[in-house]
Amino acid sequence: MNAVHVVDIGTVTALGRGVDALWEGLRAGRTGLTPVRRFATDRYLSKIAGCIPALDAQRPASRLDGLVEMLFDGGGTIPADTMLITATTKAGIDQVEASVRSESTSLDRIHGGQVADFVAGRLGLTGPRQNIGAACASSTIALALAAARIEQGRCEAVLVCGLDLVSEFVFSGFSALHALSANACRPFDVERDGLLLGEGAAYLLLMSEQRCRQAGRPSLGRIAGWGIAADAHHITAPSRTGEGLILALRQALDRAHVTAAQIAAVNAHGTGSVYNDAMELVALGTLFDPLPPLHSIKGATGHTMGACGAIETIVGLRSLAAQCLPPTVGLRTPEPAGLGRVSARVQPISGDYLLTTNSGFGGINACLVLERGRP
Amino acid sequence: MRFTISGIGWVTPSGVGSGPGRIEGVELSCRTAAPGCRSEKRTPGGGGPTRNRAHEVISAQAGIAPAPAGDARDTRGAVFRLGSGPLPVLKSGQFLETPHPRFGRFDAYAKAGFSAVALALRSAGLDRWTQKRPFGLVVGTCRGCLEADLAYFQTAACDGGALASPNLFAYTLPSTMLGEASIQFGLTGPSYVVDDAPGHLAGIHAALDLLDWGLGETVVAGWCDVSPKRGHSPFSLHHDSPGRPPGEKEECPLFPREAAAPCGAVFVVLTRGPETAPWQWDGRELTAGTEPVADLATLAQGVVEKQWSTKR
Repeated sequence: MNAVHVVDIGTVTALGRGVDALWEGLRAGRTGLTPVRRFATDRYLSKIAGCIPALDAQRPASRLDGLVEMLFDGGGTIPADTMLITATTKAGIDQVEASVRSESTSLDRIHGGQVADFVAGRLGLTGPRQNIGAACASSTIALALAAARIEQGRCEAVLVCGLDLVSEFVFSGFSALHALSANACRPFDVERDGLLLGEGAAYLLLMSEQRCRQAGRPSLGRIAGWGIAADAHHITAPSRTGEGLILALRQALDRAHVTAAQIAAVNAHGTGSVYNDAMELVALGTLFDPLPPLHSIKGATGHTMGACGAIETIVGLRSLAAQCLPPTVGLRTPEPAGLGRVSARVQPISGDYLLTTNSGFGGINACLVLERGRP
Repeated sequence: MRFTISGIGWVTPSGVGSGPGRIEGVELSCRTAAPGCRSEKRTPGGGGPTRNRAHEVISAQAGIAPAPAGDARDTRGAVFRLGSGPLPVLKSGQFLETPHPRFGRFDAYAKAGFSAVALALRSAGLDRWTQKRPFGLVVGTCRGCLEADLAYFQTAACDGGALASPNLFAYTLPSTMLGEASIQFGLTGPSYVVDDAPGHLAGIHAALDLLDWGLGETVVAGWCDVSPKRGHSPFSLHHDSPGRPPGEKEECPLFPREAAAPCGAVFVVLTRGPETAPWQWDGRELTAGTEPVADLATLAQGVVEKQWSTKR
C-alpha cells in the first residue's frame, strides 16, 4: 500500500485568499459572514452569507470562473499528468438562474463535468478527470477516492478541487427548508438555530510517497484513513443516532490503523443546525471517551457545501502542524455534550492525528484521518 | 478483480425491465416509447400475453424471446434498448410492494433512477431487508437533476423567493435520488454521483473501483439521464452564442431539440468475486470473458441475455 501525502494546498474563502488568510482569520476568531449584496434577501430567513466580495459583480460568466481564477492564480505548479477530481454540489448554478430569468448568460459551467474540464484547461492538465457529487460531503469523498486511488497504486498524483458558490438558488432553498439562521451561525451552541451559507474553493495535491520524493516536494501531511457511509434514514435530516457517521468514523480509524485515543482533535462538520450538531455529538460520543478537542469553522466561513471538506482538510493539516485548534466562531454556550471540548478560543492539541468529518443531504457521511506532516 | 452481476434493472424509452433473475408478482413488459405506456400487473407465474395501453403485445414466456439486433429481452419479454425519446410513465407500485409515499414528488431523473435501482435489486433478490446493508450506490449522469433545478428556480425567481418550494429544492441534487434509494432499501455504503462518459459506463467503473479498493462488497451502480419535458418553455435553457446577433439565443446543448442523446436509467448489482466469475475489471478496462465491454448497452445485453452468467 502506498502512503498518500498532501504536497500542495490552496484555498479562497470569505476570510480571504490563500491558506494563510484562512488560517490567520480562523485563529483570530474573525468571521467572513456579512450581509449578502449580490441578490435581494428581503423575503428570506437570513440576510447573511460568506460571500467573496470580488465575485459579487462578476457576470455574465459564471462566478465559478472567478473563483477558480482566485484559487489558482499564483499557485504552485501542478504536474500535467496529474489526475483531477473536482467536487461541487451545484457547479455554476448562477448560469441556470440567469437563463431562467432570460438574462444574458452562457451555459458552460452548469454541470460538474464542465467544471472539471474548465479547471483542467486552466491548469493544463492532461490526465484523467472526474467530478464527484455527494451533497455537502462531495470534496471529502473526492479526497477519500483520490487517496484510495494512490494507495492502491492506480495513480501517482491526484489534484482534488472542491468549489461552490453562494447563489440565490441555494440560499432560497435553504431558507425555504427553514435551515438558515436569521442571526448567526453558532456551531455546537445550545442556542444554535441554523446554518449560514458561504462560498469558497480549495485544492489539495496528493502524491504517492515515491512521486513525492521524486518531485522533491515536502509533505504537508498524510491522508491516513477514510470512511464513507450513508444513514439510510432521511433525505434532508441526519439520523439522530448518528449511525452513518459512526460507520464512517470506524472505517476511517480502521483504515488508518489508529485508535480513537490517538486522535488529537476533530474538525467537525458543525453546521450550526440543531439536528446536525446534535447528531455529530452523539456519533463522536459513541466512539470517543472522552471527546478530543473539536471545532467547526462554519461560523467563520459559512457552510461552503461541496467545498467544505477540502477547505476543512487544509485547516486540519494546519491544526496538526501548529498543534492548536482554531476557535469555533459564534460559540457562546456549548452544548453539554461538548462542554470543555469545543471552545470560542484557540485550543492546544497534542498528537499526530486529526479527524475531519462532513455530512450531507441524502444522509451521506464521510470522514478522513489526517496525519501530521514530518519535516 | 473478478466480479459478479447479479441483477439489472432499466427504464428506457423502449420500456421498463429487469433481469436476469425472476421477478414475482409484477409483469414489467412494456416495449413502446409512447407516453402513457404502462405495465399491467400479472399473477406470479402467469402466462399469456400482456397488453399495454399503446396496444403493444409482448409474449411473456420463460426464456429469452427473440429480439431485434442490438436489443435484449428479459425472461418475460421486456425489451432493453438504449435510445432517446420519452420514458414510460412510472409508478412505484410497479416495482415496490408498497407504493413509495414521495414517488410522485420525484423529478423525472429521480423517478427513472430510483425505479431502475429498485428493479435491479429486486431481480437480484436483494430488495427485501430487515437490517441495513453496507451496499454502495453510484450513478453516472450528465444532465442530472437539471429539470428539477429549473422547476425549483421557477418557484424561487418570483416574489423575491417567498414562494420557493422546499419540496422541489430537496430534489435539486443528483445524489438525492441515491439517498431515496438508500432509505428505501437500507443501503449504508458509499454513495455518490460521477459525470457520465462516452459509453455510459462511468458510474459502473467508479463502483468497480470501490469494490477493487475494498470500500464495499456490493455496489448498485449505473447510469441515469433524462431529457427535459417537451414544451418546457419558458424554462428551456437558452444562452448567448458567439457569432449570433445580440438577443438571439441558442438552445442549450444539454437540451437538444430532437433529444438525440439516450435517456433513461440502467442499474446493475455488482459483487466482488468469485474468482471464477467471467466479469473482470483491471482499473481501466471491463471485460466479459476475454471480450472488452466498452459501453452500457453491450454490458446490459450480456447480463439480460445471460451471455456471461457465472454458471457458464
